[in-house]
Amino acid sequence: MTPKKKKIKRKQWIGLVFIAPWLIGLIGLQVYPFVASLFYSFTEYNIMSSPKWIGLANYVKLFTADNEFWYSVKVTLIYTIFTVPGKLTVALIVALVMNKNMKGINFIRTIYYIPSLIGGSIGIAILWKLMFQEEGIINSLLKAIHLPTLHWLGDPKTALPTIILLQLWTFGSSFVMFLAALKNVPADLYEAADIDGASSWKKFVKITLPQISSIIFFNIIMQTITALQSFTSSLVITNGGPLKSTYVLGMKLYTEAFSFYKMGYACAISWVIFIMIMIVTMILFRFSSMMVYYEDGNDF
Amino acid sequence: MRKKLKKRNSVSWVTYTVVLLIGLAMLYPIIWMFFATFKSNAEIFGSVKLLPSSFSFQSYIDGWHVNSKITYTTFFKNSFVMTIITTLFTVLSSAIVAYGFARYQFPGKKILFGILIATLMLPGAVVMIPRYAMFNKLGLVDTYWPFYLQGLLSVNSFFVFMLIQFIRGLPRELDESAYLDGCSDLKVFVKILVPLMKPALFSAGLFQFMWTYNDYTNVLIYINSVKKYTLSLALRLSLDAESVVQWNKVMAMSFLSILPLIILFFAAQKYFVEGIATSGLKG
Amino acid sequence: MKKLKLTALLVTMAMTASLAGCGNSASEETTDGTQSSQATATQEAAGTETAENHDPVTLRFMWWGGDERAQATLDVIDKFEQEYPWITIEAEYGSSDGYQEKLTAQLVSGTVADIFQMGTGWMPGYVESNAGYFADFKDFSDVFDLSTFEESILKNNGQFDGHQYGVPTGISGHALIYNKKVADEIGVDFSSDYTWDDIVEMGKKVKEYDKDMYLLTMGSSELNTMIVRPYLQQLTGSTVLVNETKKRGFEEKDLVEVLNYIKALYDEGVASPMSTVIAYGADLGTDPNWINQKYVAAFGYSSTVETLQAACPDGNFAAGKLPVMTNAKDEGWYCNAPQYMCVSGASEHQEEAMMFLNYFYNNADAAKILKTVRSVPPTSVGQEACTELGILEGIAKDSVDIIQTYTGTNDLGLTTEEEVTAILQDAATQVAYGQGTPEDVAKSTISLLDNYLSSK
Repeated sequence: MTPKKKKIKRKQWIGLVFIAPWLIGLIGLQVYPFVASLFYSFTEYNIMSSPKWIGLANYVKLFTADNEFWYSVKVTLIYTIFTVPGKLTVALIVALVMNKNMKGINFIRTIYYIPSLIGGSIGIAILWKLMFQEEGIINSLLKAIHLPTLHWLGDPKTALPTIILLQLWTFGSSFVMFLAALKNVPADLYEAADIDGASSWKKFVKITLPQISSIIFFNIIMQTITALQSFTSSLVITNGGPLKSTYVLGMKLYTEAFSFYKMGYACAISWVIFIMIMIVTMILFRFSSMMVYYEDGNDF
Repeated sequence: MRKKLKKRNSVSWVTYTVVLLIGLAMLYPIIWMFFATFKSNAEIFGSVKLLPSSFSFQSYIDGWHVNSKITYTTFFKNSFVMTIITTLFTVLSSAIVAYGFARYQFPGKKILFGILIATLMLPGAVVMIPRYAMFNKLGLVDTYWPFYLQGLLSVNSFFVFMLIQFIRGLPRELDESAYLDGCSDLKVFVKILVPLMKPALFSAGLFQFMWTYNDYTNVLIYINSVKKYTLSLALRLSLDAESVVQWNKVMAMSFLSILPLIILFFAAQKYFVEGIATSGLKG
Repeated sequence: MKKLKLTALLVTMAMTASLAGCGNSASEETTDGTQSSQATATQEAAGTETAENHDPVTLRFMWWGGDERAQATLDVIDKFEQEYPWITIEAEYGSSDGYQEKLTAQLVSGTVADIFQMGTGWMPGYVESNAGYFADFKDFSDVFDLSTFEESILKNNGQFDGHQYGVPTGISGHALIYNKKVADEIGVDFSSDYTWDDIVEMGKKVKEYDKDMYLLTMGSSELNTMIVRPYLQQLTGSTVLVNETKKRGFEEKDLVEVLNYIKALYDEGVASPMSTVIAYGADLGTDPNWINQKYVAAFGYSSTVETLQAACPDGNFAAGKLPVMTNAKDEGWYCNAPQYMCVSGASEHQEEAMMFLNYFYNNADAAKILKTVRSVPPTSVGQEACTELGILEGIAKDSVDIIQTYTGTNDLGLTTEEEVTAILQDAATQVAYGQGTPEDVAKSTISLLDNYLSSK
């Protein structure tokens, strides 16, 4: 899009100086835990006694003998497929609306961010349970408009959808990033489009989306990674139940590691999650080179 | 021109009403929580009514004084110290690292960027214990340094990745023309990019503040002394299946602990919503 | 004066009889006043020692629990520090949430506190991996007085291969709490012996009385601990998994019978539906139906009955007996401890740690401060102190008294391992939800258990 200018000679190695903090952290703080967990995945290791090398046995068990693992993969994928696009769509719509001028906009933005601020609070986990219980506010509302009531968190069929629904509520972090990105879209682009008489939908598709695509892409990647690893929401509200209907991979991993002391096996699960995320991310990056527009002319 | 801009940016009253109505639903949890601070346990769990039967701020007083040794004054202070320092370190370090990645073509960059993203992909639960062992060897257990150090060295590459994406959204011509004018590499970053990155830096800071402030698992593992506990640990002190939990106290302290976050968001938003468009710079 | 002493002696004797500990075995301990006053005397002598004779020692003490427990423990620490001025105790207390993970990380890294509270279920796993994590209380008999504990209590709680790696913090056990007024009105009775089948009959009565009410409520965890395990044990006379042989103690048909029983509880509307209860997790007291007295009784633990009672201020509750089938081969119910106290094997000051715990358990003043914050005290000193204060009454004490009348075998070990617990609980919950027939569930459960056992 931007016309290629002639390259300016900059001392490119200086970049290494700038990334030095991260590099030091990588070598000093990250490599050891990573390598250790990879090593443990080939061992029988209960955290307390020394690990015993068993080769690929953990992985073989994972892929052939552990039905629960595949079940958890399914739950996790369903969770991810629904939460990521759902959350991002809500966040984008809210950000677009909140980008406008209206009375008390500062207050309104804050209000829309509050659910994300308090999402992890213990008090709120109680509120969700209260809202979704048999005689709770949600069922009362449904009754009032003559719709059938549900068991929500108590029913294996509806527990996961309920958890997903609760996740959509905490769209705040993407919302804030979208808002910041929208503010960075140069106003003259819109002004030019206005002069051409473009419709608002056209402006959204031709100007807004491309201009914030790098941030959208970032959010897709990060939300996907978070969703595939997630376990806190199901742990706090349903503890993986009922009947394991919300037993996501992150939870299985945690249980194997800290309840059953099968750290070796848990590490194997982690590395499978790692590979899964890696594949998804690579696909997304491949997509991004086609879809994402960078001001820097895709020089990376 | 000005008039046109204004028209484009205003909303119809229908939209406005919808926004307000949904906003009310967004507020419901915190309103419920506030009223719950005045309720008895039976009222909280046994009734769907929003309003409490009586108002008394005793739960706030009782909740604040945890026991004869410690009050929430300590916990609030600890949370602020730990969170603010960690946040500053994280934002500073991540911004510099992101600049290095986004604007330079050093050897091995593609691989290092791959590693940067890859460090986000391994679930935290399995690196928790090796990491704990490492910080213990460094003698940093029961201090806030595990958090400071991880901030200072951009261990959570989420922020680096996020800022890279923001920098890549800024036209390269900006800093390159400054570079040609004789600015040093660092000066280009500080004088040209940082002001433009303000919204992104503030949102990164906001997230790190919020996540550190709310972090339970890591603080639990690394901090032993009660006098160093942060709010997230303190809020769970009373919770025990084997004793009668006075939920109004827990709710009162939860509510107070959320207030700084709300105030922070409210105060900081003028920084992250002012972008290029309003700062008068044209690309 | 003499009369007073005599009364005290009588009270003590009565106490010893009622709190004789697990398995109904009568106490051989001499718990007369002289011994404890002697103990106090030596402690006072120690207290008069000046700090100059000792190098200062700092101990860390970690526990979990609510506000009341924290305050009482902190007060005891204060008192101890006054009497032993050269010892400083740093309290590290928090919630039970994540405690086990933290403890594991600390044990592995050698950073654990000198003194720490321990969950009874986790202990066998830790000891099996590395008994060196723990100091043996028996090695410190000169500073820690074990004689105030009932021998059988020590044996069943914290003893591994003859080593006392932990001491129980209290006496507790499974319990049933029921709403006496409602039960009387409907005509169901938990105060005399009853069988599992009687529960179903009582449940039907409740349904006739009010179709929105249920006889019993329990979470999925109680389905395992209070039905599957005791039922199987009563049926077969063996623990569910046998620690010595590492084999199952039951046949497939036995498990089918238990699961059929559970199915009946839910089909007949005896127990509150799982889909309602499950959201309340470990805290049945937060169920509005409990608060609004829609349930007559709840299965729980002696240390949680007070919470359940407090959750429903309008109720009039009592502790009930526990179900035993006719011709039971083992009563299936037994008493145990809510937690243990341990001293780290890596501690540099094990002796001082033991001295503190001795004060914690065997000093009358300490006992009066601690009261029952960790359940009914396990030592004669603690029990006397509580009796003197008149606080050994109420529903928690009643339920401890009841559980002590049962002589079932303690199944701590393989049966209580987290993984086995998860398997059994899942099986029972599946049936409770009506997913899968008892026969199918039993089959898959047995294959999971055998799989687990083969890895042991």
